[in-house]
Amino acid sequence: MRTKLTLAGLLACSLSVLPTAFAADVDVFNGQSGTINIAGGTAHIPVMKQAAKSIMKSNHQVRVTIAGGGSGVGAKQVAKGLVDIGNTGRPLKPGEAKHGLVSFPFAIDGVAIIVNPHNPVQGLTQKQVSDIYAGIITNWQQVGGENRDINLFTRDEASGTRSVFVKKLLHKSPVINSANVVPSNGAMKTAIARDPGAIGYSSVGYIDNTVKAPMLDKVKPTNEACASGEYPVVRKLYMNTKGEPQGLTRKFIDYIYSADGAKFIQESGYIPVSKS
Amino acid sequence: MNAKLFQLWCLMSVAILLLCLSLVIGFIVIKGAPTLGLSLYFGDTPMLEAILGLAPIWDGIWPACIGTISVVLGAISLAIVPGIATGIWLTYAKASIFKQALELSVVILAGVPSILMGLFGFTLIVLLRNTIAPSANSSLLLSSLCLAMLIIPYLSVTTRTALQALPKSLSICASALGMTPWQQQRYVLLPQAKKGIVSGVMLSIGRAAEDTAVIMLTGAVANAGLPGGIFERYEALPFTIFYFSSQYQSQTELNMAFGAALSLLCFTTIIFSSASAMARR
Repeated sequence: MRTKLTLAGLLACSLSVLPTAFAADVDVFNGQSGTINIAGGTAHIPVMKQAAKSIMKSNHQVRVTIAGGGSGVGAKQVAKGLVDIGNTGRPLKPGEAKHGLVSFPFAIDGVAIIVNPHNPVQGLTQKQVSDIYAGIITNWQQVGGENRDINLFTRDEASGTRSVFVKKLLHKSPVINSANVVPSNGAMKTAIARDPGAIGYSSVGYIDNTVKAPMLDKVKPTNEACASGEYPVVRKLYMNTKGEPQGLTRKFIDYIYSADGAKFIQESGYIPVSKS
Repeated sequence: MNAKLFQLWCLMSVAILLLCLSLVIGFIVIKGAPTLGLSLYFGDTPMLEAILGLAPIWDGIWPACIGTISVVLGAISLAIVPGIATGIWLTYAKASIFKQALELSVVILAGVPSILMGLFGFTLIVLLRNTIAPSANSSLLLSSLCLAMLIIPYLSVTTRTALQALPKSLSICASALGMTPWQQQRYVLLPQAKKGIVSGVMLSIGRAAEDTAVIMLTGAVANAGLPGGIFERYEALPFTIFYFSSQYQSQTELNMAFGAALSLLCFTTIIFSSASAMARR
């Protein structure tokens, strides 16, 4: 009897301690209210959406609105003060940073070449890729594939994925004008999946069995290879605010850096970066 | 012979038009119909909680439906009085330079592309932020305001047409009975022209509901939940379609775009057909 009581007492004690001992990261939003407006890079959207979902589910007084538009739009809107957080998939350009923007890198993302799953090509070199995008190599046979024309796909100018691809893989060599332009990672994937002669590029996080990522200089583009630095075409994803973030915006950014945030980042296919 | 050929040509044009229309509608129905269901509208949130606003909705287009209805109601309530009043004034005012100028302005306003109206709203906010209202931001109210400017010419033109279609004898008769011009308007002419005016209002509602260019620059976003107030950003069906069909990250999001397209099509069909039913009655 006595032991039972003690046990019950212990249980009651531990139960009362539970909420504080297991306080969730999202609890910092308790008692807060207001709106956080976010715009910018499309690669960030899955992370932002999951964070927003978790915050808005636990606290109905906080609203998070998310718009895309690309890195360029994100930087411009946050500089004008139209949104609280502007996302970019590349570091700020000097012209953008001069508006007093502060950058918060929160994830690492690799950018990989993708081709149709039926394409037998297993690997390419950086030289081959830049020749393909410059229009010098125009048939898959020239890089060890079938006798088929190469159809080029690229992203629009506002894309952060495009800017890291051109900078780190093509080393700023030009992309031929006849390349087809698609507006997002999702659209890129669909285009490649439907066209057996296609070549394009997307975030490593988006690669699934509808497309194939050939090795680049004998390195397989995986999250591990990106994290270790073995795979070179990587970028950081940034949140940017005008001046030091305050209030809800500050809490949101801290939340992205929390364990919850790291989980969302991993689930979206990226590698979390700890706050510097 | 020539007349017969011309008739055949007209018939063929109609047939081509109908074919194109059924292709477009058929495509949306075939792609959109399989997505219809509770999860398209409410995601994984229980329906009752979602409708009562007790729980936020994710991966569903219900917030976009409510957003569209709010922004359209906002636009029509801002536009209805100035639109109809302009129509009445244009019908009965004596010819003057001011009237000519006003007529010209209505025509110009009717011809302004909606993207320009969106840019106007965007510029207005940037201007306000830099001058008298530093906290002004793109919002439901701004979208409603820009949409209102887009539909005011529709309202005034349909009102004017409806009033002009009334037989002259009506106002002569009313004058003979000793009615002042205001009494004629109030008790005879406006009630007689009601059908035409109301169907004009319905057409403007449809026009406002389907416009994307204005709202994408003035406050519509990809993800916001139910509208939180007139100073907040919101989701809307046309923008959801535009956004998810171009920026989709997964097949589910693309399906949502088709579901949203079908829902918007149904919504505007209902409005337009009730407008034409009203006009016929």
